[in-house]
Amino acid sequence: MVNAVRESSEYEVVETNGGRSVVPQHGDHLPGRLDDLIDESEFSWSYCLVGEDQADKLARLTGDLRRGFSTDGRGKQITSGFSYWGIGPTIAWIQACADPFYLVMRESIASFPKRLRYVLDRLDGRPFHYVSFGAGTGQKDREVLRVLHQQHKDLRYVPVDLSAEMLRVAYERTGRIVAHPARQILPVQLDFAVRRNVAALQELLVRTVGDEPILYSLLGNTIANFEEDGEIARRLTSLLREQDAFLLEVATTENLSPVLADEAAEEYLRSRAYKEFVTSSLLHNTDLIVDTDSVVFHSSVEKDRALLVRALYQNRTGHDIRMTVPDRSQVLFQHEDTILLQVTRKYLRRTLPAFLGELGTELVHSTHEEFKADNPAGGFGMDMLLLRHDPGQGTDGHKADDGHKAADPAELLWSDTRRRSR
Amino acid sequence: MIRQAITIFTFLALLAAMAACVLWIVVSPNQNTPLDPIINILVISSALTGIFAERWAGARQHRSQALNALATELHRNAALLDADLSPTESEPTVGPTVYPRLLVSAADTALVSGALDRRRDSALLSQLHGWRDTVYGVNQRLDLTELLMFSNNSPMELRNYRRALHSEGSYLSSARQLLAELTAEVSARLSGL
Repeated sequence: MVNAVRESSEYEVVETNGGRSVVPQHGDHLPGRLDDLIDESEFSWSYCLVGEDQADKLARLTGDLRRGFSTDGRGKQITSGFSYWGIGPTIAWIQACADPFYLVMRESIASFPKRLRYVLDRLDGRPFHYVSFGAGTGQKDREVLRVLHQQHKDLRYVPVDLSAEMLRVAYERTGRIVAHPARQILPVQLDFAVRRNVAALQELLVRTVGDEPILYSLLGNTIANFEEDGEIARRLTSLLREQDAFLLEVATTENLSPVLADEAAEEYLRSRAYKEFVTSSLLHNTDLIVDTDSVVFHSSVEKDRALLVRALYQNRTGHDIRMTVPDRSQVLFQHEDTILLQVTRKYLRRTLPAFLGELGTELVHSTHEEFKADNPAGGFGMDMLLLRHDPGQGTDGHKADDGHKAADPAELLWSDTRRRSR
Repeated sequence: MIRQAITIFTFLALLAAMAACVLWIVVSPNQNTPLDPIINILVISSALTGIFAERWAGARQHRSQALNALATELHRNAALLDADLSPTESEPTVGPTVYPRLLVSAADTALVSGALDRRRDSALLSQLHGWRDTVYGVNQRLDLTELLMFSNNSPMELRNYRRALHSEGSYLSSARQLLAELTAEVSARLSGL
């Protein structure tokens, strides 16, 4: 046995206190051996690179749930990312994505492959590695990988998410696309809303793929779930080098009005699965007896920017409740008090170019898919934008010449740039 | 220069004739009834006022014609925007489209003919200049859109162009707004004629 191992020159026999042991030779890397194990084993092993201090996160979540009384979601909250934290919310999200009453999500997923291929045509067949922020269930990433893998058989796929459970789901859904999942897929558990984390990720990517081009993505209108969406988007797009590209998918509206904001809220109100998803984080992190009828949606208009919808959980029991939070302490959840569960937006389409300009990016290509336009004022849709680093940007992230970037040649042709100066 | 010299000469001659007639009455006191100079003064006065009256009437007629032509053209443009260039108009779902063009000849004529008064119609003239630029912009974009639609007629591209054309912030939308303002202005002036 020992001789056979020696002949393979991968192992050596060392003397220990307990006797003789067969160990890998010096210089033989553990990750390489694990890669082989994962690829060859029938057991569903997967890697996950953890960059988060879970205790810190739990402390933050607890702190957010201890905030003061508010009837409009400005007090207690579960910030973006925590909504998907844990296996319960992960399963609830998978179910919400498949809910036939969650029309926008369903249509967005159904039309995704077609829109994706149209936009990624502009990558001109160049080989890219792929980094997906908020990978979610991996359903959309699977389509992206299908396209990228045709050009780059040895690509690296780095799904980044705060939820390890979600990363596992994404890994399982995308693993079959690449030949060597263990070597090619590197799930990273990280809160990309934190500046320090993004810098750490950048270093990781540089060490992993060097100067080779990377396609980053933030799909499924994930950016709209952040209160400081502009700041987060700027932080992520700051990773772009000259050779990289960024795929951003956002929900859009043609107009802004309180009526449309109500309609946007109605979309979520109709889906029981969505309400179960947003409340799943409450079930996971508190001892509240959750009633999905207590989920209320507050809609408003962000001037010249977006329709804003806040999903809130409101205490409608008629009396105060003592709620246990993750550190096992109790918090008073008063009658009519609210917990902000999720924020989402539909961005005004015509102001998207300005938004992209603020990100320090240049639009390469885009597509727009309109959903169920029931009202004459214009319906809602999804825009997929392929961005790249704009060398004309100043260091402060603002355009030096206030240049106007249209969404695509059609937009460039027909958008009326004179309106702003009138 | 020659035209100005002739005008000056004409008015100076008439004024000189009038002065001579006045002098005639003054230096010929022996005449019992100085009808000749009086008649001459009246003739010269009517010649002087007649020139202005004829000019005013001509200008008024030209202005009225220009405004009526403008109103007709704007009405036809409104019909084009509401029908053939309207988002509600059912366009073919496949294949490119040939769009009608906005009309601008009456606006061009009104601007170059001088039929509109530079002082009284200054606001209208300013709007007309803007409208003319917009119409040329729209028509040029329609040319390019058709060209691009015919050269790349994938369903998604075609849909993108149609959507961009009819979007709320589009050039066409601005044209509609400008047309409504201009029509109101022209109607107000026509009612004041």
